Amino acid sequence: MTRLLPLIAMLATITLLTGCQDDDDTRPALEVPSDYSFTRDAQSTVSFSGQTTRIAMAEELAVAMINFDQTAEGLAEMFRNTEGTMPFADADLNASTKSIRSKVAASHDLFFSNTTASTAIRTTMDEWLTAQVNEVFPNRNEVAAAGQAGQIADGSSVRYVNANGLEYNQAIAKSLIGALMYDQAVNNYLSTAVLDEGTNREDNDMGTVVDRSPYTSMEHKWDEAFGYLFGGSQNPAKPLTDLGTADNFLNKYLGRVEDDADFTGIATDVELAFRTGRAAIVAGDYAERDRQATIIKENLTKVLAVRAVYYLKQGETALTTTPANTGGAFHDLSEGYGFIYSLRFVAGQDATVVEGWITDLTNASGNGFWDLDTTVLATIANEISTAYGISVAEAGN
Amino acid sequence: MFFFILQLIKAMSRYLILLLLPLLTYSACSNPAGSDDDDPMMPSFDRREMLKTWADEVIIPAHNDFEANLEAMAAANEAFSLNPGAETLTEFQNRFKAAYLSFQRLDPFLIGKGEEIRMRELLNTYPANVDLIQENADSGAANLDLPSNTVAQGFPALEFLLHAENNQLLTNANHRAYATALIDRMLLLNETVLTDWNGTYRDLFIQNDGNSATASIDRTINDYIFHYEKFLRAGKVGIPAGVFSDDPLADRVEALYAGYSKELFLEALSASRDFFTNRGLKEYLDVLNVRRDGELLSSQIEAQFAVILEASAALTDSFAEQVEVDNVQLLGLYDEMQRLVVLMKVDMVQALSINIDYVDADGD
Repeated sequence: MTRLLPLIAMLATITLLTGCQDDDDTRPALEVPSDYSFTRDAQSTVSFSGQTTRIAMAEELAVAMINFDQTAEGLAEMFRNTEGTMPFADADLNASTKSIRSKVAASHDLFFSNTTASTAIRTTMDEWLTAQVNEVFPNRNEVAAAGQAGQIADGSSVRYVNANGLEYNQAIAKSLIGALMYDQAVNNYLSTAVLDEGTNREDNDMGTVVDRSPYTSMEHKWDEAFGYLFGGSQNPAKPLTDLGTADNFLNKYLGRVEDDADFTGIATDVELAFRTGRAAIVAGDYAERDRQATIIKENLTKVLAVRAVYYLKQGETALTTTPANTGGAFHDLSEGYGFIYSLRFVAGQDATVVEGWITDLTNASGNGFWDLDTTVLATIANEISTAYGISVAEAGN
Repeated sequence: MFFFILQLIKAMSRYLILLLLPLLTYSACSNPAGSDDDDPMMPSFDRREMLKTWADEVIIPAHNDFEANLEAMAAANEAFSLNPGAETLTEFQNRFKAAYLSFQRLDPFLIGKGEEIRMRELLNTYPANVDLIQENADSGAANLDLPSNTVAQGFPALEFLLHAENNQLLTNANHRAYATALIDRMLLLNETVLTDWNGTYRDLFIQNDGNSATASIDRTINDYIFHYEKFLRAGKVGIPAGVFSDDPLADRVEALYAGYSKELFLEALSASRDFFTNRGLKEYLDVLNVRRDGELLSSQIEAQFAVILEASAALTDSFAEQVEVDNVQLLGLYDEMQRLVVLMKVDMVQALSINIDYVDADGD
């Protein structure tokens, strides 16, 4: 065998060299621009207005959930944006044909042939909206207690919780990060099934654009993934400039994880991968495109897992200090609830495991967060950390 | 880069402790008098005695002093209510100011019951919500226990009634009734905390002299530094100066209507400084011979307090005015205050083996 080694090495070298020569012959070197800007015939090919619109709708919905003049119908209309209704303050959003609900749990990879799950998730969110109006609104001037919805103080902030201590507005806002932004970007627009759908590759190779648009279908799909993360940015060509403040959803929390010294660099990695992958599409290098898609997927998944663990640990600390910071803890756990719910949208994640975490956290057989056994929080945090290969200590601070 | 420097400082302080360790162990052997102390690392310093000083000479007296001032204000309010006029109003305003100043001396030490009942938030969350104050005064039936009424009570709310709406206070019985309700609540909150201290809490506080995260020294120093960082540095100076926003925010100052933000700031600064210099902390650091760049850390902290005082000397009484006229001066003060955060929150706590138990709030 040892005698064969030099031979194998030689053969390998020859193969590699040939490979390289082939590459050089068939495709140009990948040129990655310094900004996320791409053109065809001097016209920008980047477009993700639908994503910007849905982010803006979700922003309005989250605020409306603690506007006590709202009704259950009003919130439902914001969630659905049914034709003929005008639920939003922003007229452009009312005029739009887009809606939040139609893209919740709607990715190709996870829900194309699982409308049962998709419908169940959307119905759960419908129920949160209704419950907010029916359970929390009437008790907005009550002091919350076990079994009593109402107000709870978190420092000088006021939080509005249900009888179990959960803030529905946080639950839905943070769940949308997984159910809408992450699911659409990762499991839909970065999916090879979507990127390569129909004649996409052929069209992209030939530079065949979509009807009266400057972009090919594949370019556009990729940009739509980009839009769910950076669509709220003031200057999406340089989206790291206002990272963390461009929205209150995926962008904000990529920013938060980036700000944790244990994860610094994650945002740069994601942004570079988006740019490189997009350049790869322009160059017709689909293997490179998919390598970059994988980098994006892994890092965005990490954002969800890190924030889930972070809020569990923060909640645990707030509940176990003396004196306990109950309102602060409930707020953390409500955000954590949404991030755990979001893990449901990670490909390969067993949904029943997530449901188990949610059940344990919700403690509905007791008084919810009010009499939660704090060891449950540590257990869930450990399980998530193990499943996603992150450290509790790094994520939890 | 900043983090790197922090890490470096951390690493250096650790090294310092290692150097000190043999020294301390040696004094432990030669000084059995202090052997009732359960902490082998810090034998030549009586931790329990320091806690006694904190309880009996700082915290409980601050609550008592505050109570006396609140009662004097309540009396002035009563005199005003019986006979609303320019003279009784001025006396009421004077008593209000005295109570507000007294609160500054208590504010860094709201621990235990004070923390549990959110006394600081309930007494001094600003800016106040003036619409809610009007609404509550008009309705005459506000539930001040509701967290949403935190921004409509305490000193900022009373200040609004006394200084921005004093015509209403003179003519409108509802406003006077609301002022009375606010004062009654302040008295009740302070009484609740004081009763706890005068009951079992004082002894528990002093006996809890170990060095775990829940021990009294750790807790008190955490709360002390937290107060310095969040309320003295950020609340009174940084936020109005616009350190945390795109533009300066003149309407976020303390005592917006009364116009004496500087006096309140100086009183709070003096309470912070006194606690460090005269109540045990400085001595504790010196016994441990804690040095930074060859100099006693305590000297550096004291010097920085002096620099801060100097940086505030030229400021006008109203920080709202200061922000408008020359915000750079306020920013300069903030920067000096920030330097002290590093000395206390990094160097001091490392030397005393204390973990900072609070994190920067998430902000959402």
